Amino acid sequence: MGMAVVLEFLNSMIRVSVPVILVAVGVCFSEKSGVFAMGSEGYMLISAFVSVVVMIQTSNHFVSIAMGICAGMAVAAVFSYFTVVLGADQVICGLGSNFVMLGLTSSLQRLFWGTTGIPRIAAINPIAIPLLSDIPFVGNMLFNQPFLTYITYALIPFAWWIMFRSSFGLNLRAVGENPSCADTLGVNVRRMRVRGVVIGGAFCGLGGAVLALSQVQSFTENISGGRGWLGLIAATFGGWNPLAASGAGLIFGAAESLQLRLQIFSKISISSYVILLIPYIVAVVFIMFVGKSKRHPAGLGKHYRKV
Amino acid sequence: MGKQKEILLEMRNITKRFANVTANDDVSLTVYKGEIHALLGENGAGKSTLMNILYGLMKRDAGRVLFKGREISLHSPAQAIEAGIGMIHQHFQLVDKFTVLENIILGLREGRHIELPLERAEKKIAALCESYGLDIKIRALVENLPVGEQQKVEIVKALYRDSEILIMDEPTAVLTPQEVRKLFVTLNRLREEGKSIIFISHKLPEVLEISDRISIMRDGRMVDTIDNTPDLNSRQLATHMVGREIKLQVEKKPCCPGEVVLSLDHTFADAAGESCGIKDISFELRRGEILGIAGVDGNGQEDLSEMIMGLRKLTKGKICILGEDVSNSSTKKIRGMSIGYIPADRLHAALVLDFTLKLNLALNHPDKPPYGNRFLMNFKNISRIAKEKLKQFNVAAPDCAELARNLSGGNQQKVVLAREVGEKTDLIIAVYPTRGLDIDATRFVFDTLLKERDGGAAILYISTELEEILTLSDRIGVLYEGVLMDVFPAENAEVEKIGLLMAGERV
Amino acid sequence: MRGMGNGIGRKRILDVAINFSPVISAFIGILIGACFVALWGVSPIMFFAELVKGALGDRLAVGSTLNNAAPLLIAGSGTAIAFRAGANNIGQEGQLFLGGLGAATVSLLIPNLPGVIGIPAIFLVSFIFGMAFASIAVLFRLLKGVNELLVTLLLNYVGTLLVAAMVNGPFRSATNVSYPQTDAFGEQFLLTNWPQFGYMHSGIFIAVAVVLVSGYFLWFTPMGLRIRNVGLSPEASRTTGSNPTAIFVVAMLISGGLSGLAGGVEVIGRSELLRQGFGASLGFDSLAVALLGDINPFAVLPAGLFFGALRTGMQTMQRSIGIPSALLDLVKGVIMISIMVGGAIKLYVRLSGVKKQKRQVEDDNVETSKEQ
Repeated sequence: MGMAVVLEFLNSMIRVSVPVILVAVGVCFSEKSGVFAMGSEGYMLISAFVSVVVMIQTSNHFVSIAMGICAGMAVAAVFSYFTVVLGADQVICGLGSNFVMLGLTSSLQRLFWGTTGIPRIAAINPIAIPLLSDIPFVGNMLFNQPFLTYITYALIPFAWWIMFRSSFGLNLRAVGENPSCADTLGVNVRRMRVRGVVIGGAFCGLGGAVLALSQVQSFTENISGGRGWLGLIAATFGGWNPLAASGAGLIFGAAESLQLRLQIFSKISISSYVILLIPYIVAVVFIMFVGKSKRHPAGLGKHYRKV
Repeated sequence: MGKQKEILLEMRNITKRFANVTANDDVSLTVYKGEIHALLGENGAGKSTLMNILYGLMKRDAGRVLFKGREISLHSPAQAIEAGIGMIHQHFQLVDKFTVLENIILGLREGRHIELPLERAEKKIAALCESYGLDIKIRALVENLPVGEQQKVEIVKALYRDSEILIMDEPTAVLTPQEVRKLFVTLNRLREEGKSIIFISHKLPEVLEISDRISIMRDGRMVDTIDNTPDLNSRQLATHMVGREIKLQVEKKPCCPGEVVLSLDHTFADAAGESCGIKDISFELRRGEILGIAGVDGNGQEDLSEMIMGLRKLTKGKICILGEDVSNSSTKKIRGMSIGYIPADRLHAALVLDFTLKLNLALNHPDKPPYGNRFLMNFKNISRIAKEKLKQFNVAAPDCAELARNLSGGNQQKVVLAREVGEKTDLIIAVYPTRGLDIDATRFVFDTLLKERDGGAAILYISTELEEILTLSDRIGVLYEGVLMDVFPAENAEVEKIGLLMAGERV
Repeated sequence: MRGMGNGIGRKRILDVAINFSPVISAFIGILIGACFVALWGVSPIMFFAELVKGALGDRLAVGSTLNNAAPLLIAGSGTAIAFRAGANNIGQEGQLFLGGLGAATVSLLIPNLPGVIGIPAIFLVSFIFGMAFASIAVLFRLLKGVNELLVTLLLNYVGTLLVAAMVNGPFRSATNVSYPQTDAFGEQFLLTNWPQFGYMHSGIFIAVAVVLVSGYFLWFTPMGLRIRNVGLSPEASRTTGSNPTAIFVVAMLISGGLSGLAGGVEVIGRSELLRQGFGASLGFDSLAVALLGDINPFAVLPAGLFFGALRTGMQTMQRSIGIPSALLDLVKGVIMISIMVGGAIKLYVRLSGVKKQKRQVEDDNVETSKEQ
C-alpha cells in the first residue's frame, strides 16, 4: 500500500462521487423550490437506461448524455404535474415513480437484451489536463479525470450562482420558503416549482448518465442502487446549498470508493456486504447530524393552493 | 392643505358577495393624493374584503376601480403592484430567511438581466430610505429583525415598486407604543412626499391622530366619509362605527361567588414563538363568577390558557384547581377533572375536522364511561350522547355521523361547546369563543356560558372584544405583554381605564 | 372559487369515482401494465387472462397467492397504524428483513427448542427485531428531531445488506454452497402447510388475525381513536389530553414490529430457511397495500389479497409467457401514484364543494384560509 494506492484512491473518490454530487445539486433545486425530490432514484435509473441505449445505437457520448438528461427531465415533468399542479403527496408519488422507473428499466432491459446481458460500452478515458495534472498530489486527483468530471466542476459553482445570485434563483427560493408571499409579488408559484423539479430532473439525469456511461459502462438492473437517496441526504446535509451539498456528496464518494478499494485489497475477511453498508451508515450518521435543521425550506413538501 | 386636492384612486360601487353574505354592498371610496385615509370598521365590516379587491386578491362582482382617472383591471396582486398599489398585510408578507435586500427585490423583473441587480438595488434602496427618513439594515436577515423593522421593510418594499398608494392593514396591531410613534413619523413623512395611505384600523384614537379623512364601514356598507377636524371625537366615530350603542344585551343574574376553583400563584411561563409568555400572574376564580380577561391580541391570552391546561410549561409559581396542585401536570390529568377548555383556534386545536361529530364529542374521555373503557369504546352510548348534545346545543347538522368539516363555523363552535360544557363542569376556560361567529351564534355562546355560571361553574373568559368582556364578566382583568395589569369588579369598569390598561399604562 | 364552473353532472361522476378510487387505481395499474406488455407481442387480453390464471388458476396458484398475501397483510396493517398516527414509516422492507433475521437467529441458535415454544418465540423475536429496527428512527426523532422518513428509507438498505452479510457470514450454510443461505431450520419451527391446498401455510390465518386485531384496535379502542386523532390533528390531540409523542412512538414500534413479524412468517412459512434477498420488495409492496387499503386494516385485507395475487400472477407469467416479473414494480408504482393523484382530486372536489356549502363571513377568514 504505497503512495500510488492513495493517489489512485483519491482519483477514484472524485470519479465515483460525481453522480452523487450531481444528484445532490439537482435535489437542491427541487427542494429549494419546495418539492421533495423523492424521485431522484427514478430519474437516475431512466436516464442511465436511455443513455446506454442511445450510446449503443449512436456511439456518441454527447448525444447519449443529452438524451439521458432529457429522459430525467421528462419524468420530472410528469412528477411535477402530479405533485405541484394536482397536489398529490410528494413522498408517495416520488416513491411510486421510482418503482415505475425500476420496473420500466428492468423490464425493457430484459426485452432488449434478454438474459444474455448488455454489451459493454466503450470506456470514457480520463483526460489529463496539461500542467494542472502535474501538480503534486492534487493534480492527479483532480485533473486526470473523464471529461464528465470537468463538466461537473463547472456545473457546481454555476448552480450555486443560479441559486443565490440570479433572479431566477431568488424566485425559486422564495416559492420554497413562503409561497403565498411570492405569489402576491407576482411570482408564479406553480411554474417556479415545476421548473425547480425539472432542473432537478436534469441534474439527476446527468448523474445517471455519468454513472452508466463512465463508471459501470453498461446498464444493470437497479443500477442507481440508492445513489439517488444518498444525493438527497447529501443535499439535506449541505443545507440545500449546491456547494455544501457537493462537499457532502464527496464524502459519499469517498465512502463508496473506500468500499470498492476494501473489496479489492481487503486482506482481513470482512464480508463484502458489511463493506457495502459503509455509504448507508455514513448517510445515517449524516442525518443524525442534520438534526432539527433550521435551514429546511419552510414550504418544503407543502402543496400550495391558491384561494 | 390649502392646495387643490388631486384624486388618486376611486373605487365605485364595489359589490362582493360570498355564498350567503354580501361582504361589500355598493361601496365607494375616494382617496386623494397625499392623504392618510383611515378605513374604520369592526371585524367583519368588510374592510379587508374591499382592500383585497383593490389589491387584486379577490375579484369584485360589480363596480369599477379607477386609478389616476384610468380604469384598471385587478386580477392579481401583480397587476395592482404594477399599477402602483402596495399593500402591507397585518401578517407581513416577507420571506424570513431572506435578507432585507432579497425581500425587497423579490419578484421584480428588471429588463432581461439574469443576474440579480444587487448593487443597483442597494443604491436605490439607500436613496429611498434617505428621502423618506427610513433606516433599515439592508443585509440583515428578516427573521432577525424586530416587528417594527420588518414593517419598515414592507414599506420600503412597496416604495421600491413605486407604489403611490399604500394599503396598511391594522399596522399598529403588532407594534409596541414606541414603534407606533415611529411608524406615525414615517407615515407623516410619506404623506409629505405625496404618497397616499389607506390606514385600516378599528382603534379610534390612532385614527383620530394620524388620518386626514376617515371612511367608516359597517355590515358591508360604506356608512360615511368624514374629514378629520379637530372637533371630531372618539364618541362620534364609535357611534358611526357601531351604529347602535350595544349590540348584545344579555340577561344576567347577580353574581354570587362560591368556593375558589382556580387559583394562580405568581405563575410564569416562557415566551414561545410569537407569544410573549406569562409574567407573574396571580388571581383566584370562584364558583359562579365569570372573570373576563381583556387585552389586545397576542398579549399572552393563549399562553395563559395553555399554561393552565398543562399545554405550556409552568416555569415558576403554582396553579391549583379545586385545591389540588396541578402545576405542570399532564393535560390528561387536568382533563380528568371536570374542566371545559375552548381553545383559541377551534379549527386546529379543538376539532378534528375529518372525524364525525360523535367522535369529536367523545374525544376528551374515550376511555372513560359512558364513552367506553380502556379497551373498547361504547359506540351506542357515544351516538346517544352525541345526539342528545347536538339537540341540546342546536347544532345544525344532519346527524351525528356528519364530518365536522362540513359544518359552518358557528355550528363547529357549538360542537366544541357541547363537548366542553355539555357535562357538569367546575371550570371553563374559553379563549376567543365568539371569534368569527355571527350575532346569533355569539348570543348562544353567551347564554350557554351564563347558564353554566349560574349552575356553579367558574369561567375564565378570554377575549379581545372589549364589548363582550363588558357584557359578560363579573370581574375584569387586563392582560398586557403577559402581565395581568389589574383585576376589578365589572361594575367599576370604565372603558377609558380598560383602554389605558390594554395599552400598558397603569392607572 | 375556481371549481364553481363544474357542472353538477361532472361532479357526480367525480364523487362516484372517488368512492371507488382504490379499485380504479388498481385497475389503472394493471391497465398500464397490460399496455406495456404489448412490447412483447402479448395482447392485453391475454395478459389479463394469464394474470388471473397465474394467480387463481389452480390450487397451487391460490395457495401461492395466499402465501404471498400473508406477509403483505401483516406488514400492511402495521403500515396502516403508523400512517394513521402520522408516522412516516417507509422502512417496511428493512424491518421485514430484520424480522426474517430474527427468525433465523432463534431457529439456528436454539435448534433444540420444541415447536410449541419455538414458533411463538420466533414470532416474538421477529417482532422485536423489526421493532428494534424501527426504534432507530424513533430515537433519531426523539433525540435529534429528525424526520423518520429518510431514516427509515435508508435503513431499508441497511436491513437488506445486514441479512446478506449474515447469510454470507456467520449464518452461511456449510452444506449448500451454491447460494448464500442458512441451513434449513428444524422441522418443528416451520408453519404447517397443506399440499392439498397448494402448499398454503398457516401464516395466512395469522395474517388475517393480525388484520382483524389491528382494525379493531384502530377503530374500536380509545387508543386507536387517539392514534387517529394525532394523525389528523396533533394540536387537537394535545388539547384533548393525548400525548402525541408517546403515540408516535407506540405507532412506530407497532408498525416496525408487525413488519418484522411479516418477515418471520415469510421465513418459517415459505422459505424454510433464510436466504439472501428472501422477501425482496415484500416490504415495499406492503406499503402499496396499505395505501391501496385506504390505510385501514379492514380494507387492507382485500388490498393485500389483490397484491398477493398480483405477485403470484407476475411470477407465473415470467415462466409461462416470458414477461419479466419486474413489471410488478411498474404496476405497483402506477397504483401508488394513481391513489395519491386520486386523493388530490378528491381534496380538490371537497374544497370546491365546501366553498359552496359553507356560509361564512369570509371577510376575516380569507387571510387564514389563504395560508393553508
